[in-house]
Amino acid sequence: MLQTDPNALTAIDLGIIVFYFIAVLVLGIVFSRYVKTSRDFFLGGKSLPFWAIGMSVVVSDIGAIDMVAGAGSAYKYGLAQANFDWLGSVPAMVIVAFVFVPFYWRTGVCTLPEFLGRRYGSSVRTLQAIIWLGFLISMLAVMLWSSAVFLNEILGLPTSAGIWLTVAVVGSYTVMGGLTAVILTDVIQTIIMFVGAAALLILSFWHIGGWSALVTTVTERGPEFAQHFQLLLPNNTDSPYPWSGIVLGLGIVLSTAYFSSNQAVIQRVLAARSEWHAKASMLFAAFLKLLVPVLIILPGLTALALHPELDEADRAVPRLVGTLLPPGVMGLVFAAFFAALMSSVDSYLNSSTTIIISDGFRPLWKTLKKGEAPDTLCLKLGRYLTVFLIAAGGLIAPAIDHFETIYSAMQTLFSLFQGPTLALLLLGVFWRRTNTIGALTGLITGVFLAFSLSVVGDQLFPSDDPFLFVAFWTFLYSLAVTALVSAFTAPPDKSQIEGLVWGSLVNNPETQALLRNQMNKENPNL
Amino acid sequence: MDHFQHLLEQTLVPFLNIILTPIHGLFDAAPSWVWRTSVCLLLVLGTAWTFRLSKESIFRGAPTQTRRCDLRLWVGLLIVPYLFIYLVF
Repeated sequence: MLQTDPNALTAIDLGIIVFYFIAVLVLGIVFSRYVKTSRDFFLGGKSLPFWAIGMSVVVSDIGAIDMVAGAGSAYKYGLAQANFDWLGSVPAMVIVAFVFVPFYWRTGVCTLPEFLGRRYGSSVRTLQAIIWLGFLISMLAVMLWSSAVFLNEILGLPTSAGIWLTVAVVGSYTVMGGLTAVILTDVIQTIIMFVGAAALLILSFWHIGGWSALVTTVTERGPEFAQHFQLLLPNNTDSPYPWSGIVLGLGIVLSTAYFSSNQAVIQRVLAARSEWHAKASMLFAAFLKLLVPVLIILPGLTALALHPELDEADRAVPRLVGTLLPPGVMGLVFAAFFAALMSSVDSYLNSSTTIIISDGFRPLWKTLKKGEAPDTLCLKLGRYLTVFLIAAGGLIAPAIDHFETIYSAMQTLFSLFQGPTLALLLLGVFWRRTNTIGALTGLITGVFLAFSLSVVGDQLFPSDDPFLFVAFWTFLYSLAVTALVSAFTAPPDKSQIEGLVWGSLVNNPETQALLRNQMNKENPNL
Repeated sequence: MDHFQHLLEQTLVPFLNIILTPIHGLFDAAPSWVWRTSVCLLLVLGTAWTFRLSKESIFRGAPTQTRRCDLRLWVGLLIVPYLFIYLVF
C-alpha cells in the first residue's frame, strides 16, 4: 500500500478527497428515486447506455490493490504484465459480446448459476452459486480491509474508522440506488481514476524525458532488464509469464472464463437498454482496456527508471506519488485510488445480493410456496441483504489482517474452478448432447485435477507460479471428460434444453418467442 | 498434504511429463515470430469471425441501422491498435 506521510497531504488534497466522498454519496442518493421494482434494483431497470456499462465493467475490474501491485509487477517483470489487460481481455470481450451476451440476454437469466441450473439441473446451480457467493463475499471483506489500510496510511484514520466510513458511503448509495447508482457512480470513478493515473504518468514521463529516454534508462541497467519492454517472453523465461501461458492460459481460458461468468460483468451487461447496447458495452470496455496498462503498468516502468533502488516492487507507485506529485494533484491521485476501491466494493456487494435472491431466495420460494416470490418482497429483501452483507463484511474485514494466507488460499481455490466452469459453459451452449452427469463429472474431476496440478505444477510447467497452465490443461481435460461422459450416457430431455443451446436460440424465432413468454411469466419484474 | 504431494509425484508427474515435456520442448524451440504470429492470428481470426455474423444479429436493438452502429466495424477499429502493439512489442 501507499505508506505516505499523512502530513504530506495539503488542505487542497484533503478538500479534494472529502469532496469526492460527498459527491459520490449524493449522486447515489439522487438515483434512489428511480428504484421502484426489483428489476430497477438488480438490473438498473434495463435502461442503461453502453458507455456507462462499459466504464463500469472496466473500473470494477481494477482495484486499488491492482493499481499498486500491477505497477509493482511491471517494475519487476516489465511490460509482459500488460498482457492481463490486453491479450487477457480483448479477444475474450469480443467473444463474450457476440456469443454470451446474446445468450444471457435472450434466455432471460441474470446469473451464471441460473443458466447452468436451467441447462444442467439444480445441483450444478447450487454448486456454482455457492462457489461464486464465497468468492464475492470474501473479496468484499478483503476490499473493505484494503480500504481501511489505505485510509489509515494516507489520512491517519484508525482502521476500524476506515472500514466503517467505506461501509457507510458505499453501503448508502448501493442500498438506495441499486445497480443504477453503482454503475453511474462507477462512471464518475472511471473518469477520476483515469485522470489521476494520467497525471502521475505524465509527470513521471516529464521527469524522465519521454519514451525513448525511459527505454534507454531501463535497458542500460543490465542484461536482466533486456526483456522489460517485450510483451511476449520466451517459454524458458524466469518471469511467471512465458508466452505459451499467456496465449493458452490467459488469452484463451482465464479471460474468457472471467468475462463470461463473472456475476459483476453479467449483471452490468443485462442492465443495458437493448441487446445492441449490451454488446456495445463490452466492445467499449475493450477500447478502454487499451488505456489501462498505459495508465497503470507504465508508471511501474517509469519508477524503475527514476527509483531503481527499491527493494520491494510494490513500493514503485507509492514512491512516485511521494516524490513527483504537487499539492492538489496528490489529492486527485488519492481520489483515483478511492475510486478504484469503492467501485470494486460496490460491485461485489450488489452481485452477492443478486446471487442470493436469484439463486437462493426465488427458487426456495417457488419450491415452498408453489409460486413466484412477490416483487416488493424481493426488492425489500435485496436492500436488507445489502445492508447485512456490507455490515458483515465490515465485521469480518479486520480478520483479513491476521489471515492473509486464507485470502491467498481462497484466491487459488477459486482460480481452480475457472477452466472446468468454462468447459461446462461452452459445451452447454454449443452441444445439445451435453447432459447433467457429464457436466458434474467434468466439473468435479476437473477441479480435483486443477488442485493436483497446482500442488505439483512446478515439476510440470515452465513457471514456479503455474496458474496459467493449470487453467488451460484443466479446461481441456474437463472439455474432454464432459463430452465423453455425455456421449456415453442418456441425452438430456429435448424440452429441458430447448432455447438453451446456440442453434435454437439464435436461429429459431419460435424458440425465441417461447423464451420471451416464459421469461415474462417466470420473472415479470426481471 | 505431504502424503498427497508424494503420491502425485510418484504417479501423476511421471505420467503427465510424458505428454507435457515434448509440448513444452516445442514451445521452447519456437522462434519469437511464431508467438507474435499466433497472437495476431488470434486477434485477426476473432475479427474475421464477427464479419461472418448476420446483420440481424449485429443490429438487434440498435438505435439505427447505420455504420456507426455496426458493431463489426467497432471490432475492426478495436483490433487495429492491439495488432500494432503486439507487432511492435
